[in-house]
Amino acid sequence: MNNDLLLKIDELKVSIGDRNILKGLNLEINEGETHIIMGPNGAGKSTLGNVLMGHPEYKIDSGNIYFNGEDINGLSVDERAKRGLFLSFQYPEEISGVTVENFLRTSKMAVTGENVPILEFQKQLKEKMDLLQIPEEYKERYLNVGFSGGEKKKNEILQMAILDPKLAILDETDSGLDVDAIKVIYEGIKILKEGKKSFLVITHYNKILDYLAPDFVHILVDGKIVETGSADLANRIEELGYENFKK
Amino acid sequence: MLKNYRAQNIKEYEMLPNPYWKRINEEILFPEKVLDYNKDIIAEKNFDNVMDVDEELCFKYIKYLELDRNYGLGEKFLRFSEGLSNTGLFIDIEAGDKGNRARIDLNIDSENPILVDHNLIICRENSELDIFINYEDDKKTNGFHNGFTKIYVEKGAKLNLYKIQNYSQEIQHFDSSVIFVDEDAEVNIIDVQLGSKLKGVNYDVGLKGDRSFCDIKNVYLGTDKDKMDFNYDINFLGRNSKGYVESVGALTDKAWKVFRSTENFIKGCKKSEGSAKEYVILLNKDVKSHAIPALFCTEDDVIGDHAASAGQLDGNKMFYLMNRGLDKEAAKILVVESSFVPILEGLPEENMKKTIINLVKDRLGGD
Ligand SMILES: Nc1ncnc2c1ncn2[C@@H]1O[C@H](COP(=O)(O)OP(=O)(O)OP(=O)(O)O)[C@@H](O)[C@H]1O
Ligand SMILES: [Mg+2]
Repeated sequence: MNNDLLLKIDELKVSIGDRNILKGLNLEINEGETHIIMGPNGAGKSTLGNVLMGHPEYKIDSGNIYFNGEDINGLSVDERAKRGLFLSFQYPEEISGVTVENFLRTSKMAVTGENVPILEFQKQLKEKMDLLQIPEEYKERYLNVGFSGGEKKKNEILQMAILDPKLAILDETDSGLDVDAIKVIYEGIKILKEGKKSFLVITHYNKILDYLAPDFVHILVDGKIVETGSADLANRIEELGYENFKK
Repeated sequence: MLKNYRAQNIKEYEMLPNPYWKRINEEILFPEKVLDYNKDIIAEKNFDNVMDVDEELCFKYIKYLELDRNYGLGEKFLRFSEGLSNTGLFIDIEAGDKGNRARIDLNIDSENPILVDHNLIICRENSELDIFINYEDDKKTNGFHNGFTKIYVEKGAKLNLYKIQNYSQEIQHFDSSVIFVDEDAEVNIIDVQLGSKLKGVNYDVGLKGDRSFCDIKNVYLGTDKDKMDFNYDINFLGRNSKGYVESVGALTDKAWKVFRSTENFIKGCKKSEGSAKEYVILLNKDVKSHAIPALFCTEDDVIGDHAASAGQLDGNKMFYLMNRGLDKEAAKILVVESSFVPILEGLPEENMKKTIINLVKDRLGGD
């Protein structure tokens, strides 16, 4: 495994309004690693994803985020995307009037800053759609409009596959999916990992362990990572519940 | 006496004061002198019965030209077109004649800076007509357009009207249409208003016949210090008549907009149904947006509905799009595009939709 440090979060404190949500969070992710974050509802998992991505609503009170050695605190959302960060939404937005295909090509060009020839793009899109078992007609549909919960999640992974980020943060991509869909998504992700891509996977299910071999499992409770371990930790949570991990 | 049609209107026009539009704080100034307009406005047509307007024709069609009350943007605008028009068309489609199409260019340039049109469109029984009107200019002429169109759609006839107003900000644009729809007749309108620094657009529809139908869709854009007033009135008279208005717009910079719609259900129009919807995206906090929907009923047995809403850019939507690499401007434009597309899909040609989307991008990207 390549051990180049990709993401470093240093004593991160984040608030929204006058509520403190992240309360001194530390995390390091190397290139090619898969990290899993588990934790009770409201612990701050989605907040972490949003803050990494630069959501303007959240305020960083102290601490730093380095991506590829660069302090990214001051960067806008799209600048982070261009540097290789990607967040798969827990609740993806619907954008009517813009087809999946057009949107993906637009965003691919935006992220890479290069023209993407249409034929080459279509080939790539077909490949990834096949991999994720998304029927071809979905590329002509408006982005997420009228998609079922599971279809939206698959579409997030499709976007990830096309945009090819360095670090993909998946926020409960596996919630609301039937067992077959979970399998397709995680097997897809496995193929997409391609060695160097890193993942930060937020989940409530240890089903993921069947497909992805995580390098680390973290438990986030009340704005802090309270325990870090190997895949085995996810199984212990299943048995013990989060209560036993609270400080 | 007949020769007096225009003279009489000019006289009335001259006596009327300049309108003051208090909602957008603007006194409308008319050109002191109406110069000749020397452009051919018919770009394409596949039928014959189009006539240039003259006195004789006005006499022949007097019962269509003289209306029972004042419609449109207001008397001064109407009399101006009726008395001083420098171009215009009378179109009279014969009964049962279908597949008629015309493209009309109401363009302004430095040689033809003032455009005053007065039009009459009659679709006789069971006829069909599609009209496309484009409004363009040379982008360097301080110009003025005032139009007044009277439209009669007789029993069982169908009219589709598509307007794309893409004037530059040098132009003032005023457009009044009055439409009478008879039994089983149908009118569909898509009106795209992209440009012009000061514009007033007014539709007044009389759903006279039983089962008459009218659908008006509008998209608009306001940038810089544009001021605009849109008014849609639908009068329901026939039974089972249906009238719908839908307007979607985006405002940025310091643009001002007023949207009015009145659904007027008149006694006897039983089982009629109407709705007026307006949605505007406010891209900037300095914009001003008023919506004044109204509903009047003297008939109980109807369904009337109206909704107006204005929204800032949705923060989560923006976050989502920017997360996929789009910068703020591009994300903003995509949100606007996304709100316009459902209406633009009603255009009969795919490339019209594309053209309009590109114009919207240009106009929004330019700031
Ligand atoms: N925009 C917001 N406004 C107010 N409070 C917020 C906002 N976003 C998050 N919070 C609060 O911050 C806390 C953490 O929320 P977050 O969404 O990060 O939790 P989570 O760990 O992802 O939970 P879940 O497992 O339910 O998805 C919650 O108490 C939530 O109510
Ligand atoms: Mg969450």
